[in-house]
Amino acid sequence: MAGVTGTRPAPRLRAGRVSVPPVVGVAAALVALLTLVPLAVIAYDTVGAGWSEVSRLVFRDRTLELLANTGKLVVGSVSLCVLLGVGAAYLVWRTDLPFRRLVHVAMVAPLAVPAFVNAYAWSSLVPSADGYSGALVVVTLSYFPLVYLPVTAALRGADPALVESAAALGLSASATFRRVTLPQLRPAVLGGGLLVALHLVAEFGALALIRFPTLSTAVYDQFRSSFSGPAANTVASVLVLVCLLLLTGELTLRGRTAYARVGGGAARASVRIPLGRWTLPAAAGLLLLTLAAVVLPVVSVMRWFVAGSSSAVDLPVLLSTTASTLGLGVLAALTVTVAALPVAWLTVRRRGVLSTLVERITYIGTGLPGIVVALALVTLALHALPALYQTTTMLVAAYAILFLPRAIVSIRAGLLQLSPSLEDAAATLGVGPIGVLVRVVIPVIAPALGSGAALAFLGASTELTATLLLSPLGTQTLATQFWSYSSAIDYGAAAPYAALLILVSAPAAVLLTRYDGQVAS
Amino acid sequence: MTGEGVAITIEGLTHGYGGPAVLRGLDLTVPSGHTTAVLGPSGCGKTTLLRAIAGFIRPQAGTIVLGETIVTSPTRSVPARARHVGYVAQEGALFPHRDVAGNIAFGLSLSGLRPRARTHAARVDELLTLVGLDLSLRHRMPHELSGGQQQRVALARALAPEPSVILLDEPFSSLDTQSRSETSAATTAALRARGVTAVLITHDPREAMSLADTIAVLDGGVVAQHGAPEEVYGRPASATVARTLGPANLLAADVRDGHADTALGCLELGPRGHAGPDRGLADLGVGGSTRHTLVVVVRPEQVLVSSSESPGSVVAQVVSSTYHGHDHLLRLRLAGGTVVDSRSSSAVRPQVGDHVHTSVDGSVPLVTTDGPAG
Repeated sequence: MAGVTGTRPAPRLRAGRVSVPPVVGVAAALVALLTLVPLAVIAYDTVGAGWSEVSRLVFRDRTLELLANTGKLVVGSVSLCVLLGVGAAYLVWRTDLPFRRLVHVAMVAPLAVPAFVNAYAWSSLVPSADGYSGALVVVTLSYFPLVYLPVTAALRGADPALVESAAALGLSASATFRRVTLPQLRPAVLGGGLLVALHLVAEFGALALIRFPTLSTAVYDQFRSSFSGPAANTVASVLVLVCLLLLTGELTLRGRTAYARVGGGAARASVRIPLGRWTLPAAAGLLLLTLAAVVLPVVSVMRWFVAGSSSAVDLPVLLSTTASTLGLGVLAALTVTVAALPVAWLTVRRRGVLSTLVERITYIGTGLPGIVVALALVTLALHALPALYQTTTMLVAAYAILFLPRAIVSIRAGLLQLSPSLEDAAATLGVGPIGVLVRVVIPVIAPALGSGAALAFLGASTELTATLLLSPLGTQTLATQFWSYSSAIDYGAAAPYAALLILVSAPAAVLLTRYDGQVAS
Repeated sequence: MTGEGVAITIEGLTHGYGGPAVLRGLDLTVPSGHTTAVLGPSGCGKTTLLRAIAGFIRPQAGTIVLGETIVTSPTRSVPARARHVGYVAQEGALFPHRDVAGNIAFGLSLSGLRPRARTHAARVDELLTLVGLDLSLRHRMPHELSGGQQQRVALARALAPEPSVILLDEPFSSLDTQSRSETSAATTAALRARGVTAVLITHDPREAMSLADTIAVLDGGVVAQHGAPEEVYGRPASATVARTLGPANLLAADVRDGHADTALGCLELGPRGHAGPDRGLADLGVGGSTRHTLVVVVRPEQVLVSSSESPGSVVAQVVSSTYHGHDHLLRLRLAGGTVVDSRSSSAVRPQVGDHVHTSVDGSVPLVTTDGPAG
């Protein structure tokens, strides 16, 4: 409750009292098992192919080249993202830069442009933007906010007294940054950097458009040529290994940084450093970044939109595509929310080894590329469940695995605000368990349920990779329709879809910033 | 609801959380229409006692009777929602999605008659007035209220269904000093006006003494003493009770003829405190064969300091002197090394190192202690 701060620790008898109904535990375990399916299928298939076949496929020049490309892109782009993210956050939150609020919005805005739309915008405007350098520019501009957001949170949460003490001890501004501020930012920088790396390893659409082959695009190419042969699955398993490695790093870090996040509230504003003659260069740099990351893609899409309208937009196709996108989005939102609720409930109300395990397993979805989830489900359908192949059920299952972590984070935050003493108070007023659920729990966490559902809806509406592989015959979404036009270099026809994709992504960007960019896949 | 009856009868209440038991066969009788404070340090089991009365936990042993109804026994446990007790949590626990009126009316819509909304509005206004809140707060949301206002709304919500008993779990502990005294005064006034039986859990002896009609001091999972504030303060049943109620000098005593020989001189013994019925002087070992350490309780404000000698006074040296505005606290070393505290509002404040003459004002109670006196 606002305005009330406990002066004494809460009674320590609360644990053990709150019982979680067994049905919640069972449901949470089933959800965790569902998210394990892709990993299990890939592992089973790789083992089934036999060691000699696997080693032949893995240790050939092509795979090693793809691995090298992926590594090159990760190292290059993560470095640039950290440089841009930390630099921008420091300028916005610690200096007297003009128009700071506006700059802050501009630094988050790139999240509203899906990376593959950004790639289309750049390559249609600058045809020479391809290969490594083109890929580096496009993905960096798309993903640097993932570093900017956690660094912003860390800077705002940090105690200004530390910087003041350093100044009192005689340190210069630059020495203070190096010896006091930077060490405090380390967890945020590492966490944001790992998140960027996970996105880069999983990125398919942008890199395919820019024609820079990585493990992710190779899985798609292999799938196209040999369907779900061992070749595609082997490359996928290398991809999974890379992702799991990054995910382990991210999870370890998350566990350790929890304490470093000072709870929000009214932290004293820190003294801002005057930029002086550096004001102009700093402002110009941020303006350039905004132009490249936000203005250019939007202008490019609009230009093609205007140019393409002469060649008449196929309105019925646009409408039917929008309708099927909305339908799939709603289905995904409902499924994800229903699946996330028991997991969130279990992890909030019953801390323990098992509930932590369930939560960690469902978090794997953040680290699994859409292409891997899709390939695994195709493989599973072909071998075991042919009736489900190319059905809406399977596509929604893929969405559920991919977007579950977003909904869990959101619903967890809501449940954490629901103090058990609210349920006690309701009971003494004569309300039974069902009444408590209907009159207290659901109304209190309704906003959290809503934003969890919205995140899943928006994620599914702009998802490209899994949709390409799993959508039922004849079903097109905004993303897949955009993809078929833009990969055929029909930029004008792709423009309306690009504009709609940006419109759908924008609210997701706003919602994601609320959770400090913890989960933004 | 007022009257001389008994509102709550608790017998042999025992409960633990895996480790050593928190409550160990606790007995307590709460009279109707009065406010009873349950006082004790953190972890003494007072919150567990309250949760057992409310029905949030099922104790391992013991019975609880509310009025005439057995609500907890080895064979029976009435759920919290059917006990008809009011509950005010430590930080109010207002429903964040309902405004003030919605919170207060929460328990009203359940009474079988389904009264109309207008009746509710009238009840809400009546309860807001009762707890001393402005009617304009009716449609504020909980986060728009101060901590003290939240506690008053929580009290109004608990009183709305007209419970016979209301349980308050440290309701003022999270408030600042100013709003604490205002909120506690408003709470007492509302409880008195309704003649409701209240059980107030607190760890603050001043709060317990100023708000409650009787105080039950918890120690070691049982009620060490239960009586009027003047009784538990002036005639504590044990050294622990004496310390729980406020600062106390505990001095080893040699007892003879209604007097005690102590480091502060020969002191007059006051009437004895009772832990329960039939606990006379013999229980303390006086005149019996078992020897306990006997100590007297001398409150700091009873220790008078003077620069001149008087009959029976003892010489002491000032070890430290702390100024508190309305009074000051002196720490004195007596001959033989015993250290005692003296609280005085006298304008003259002796300096550290000064030699002064001390005497004791009034009579002092005799108690036993487990530890060494000093």
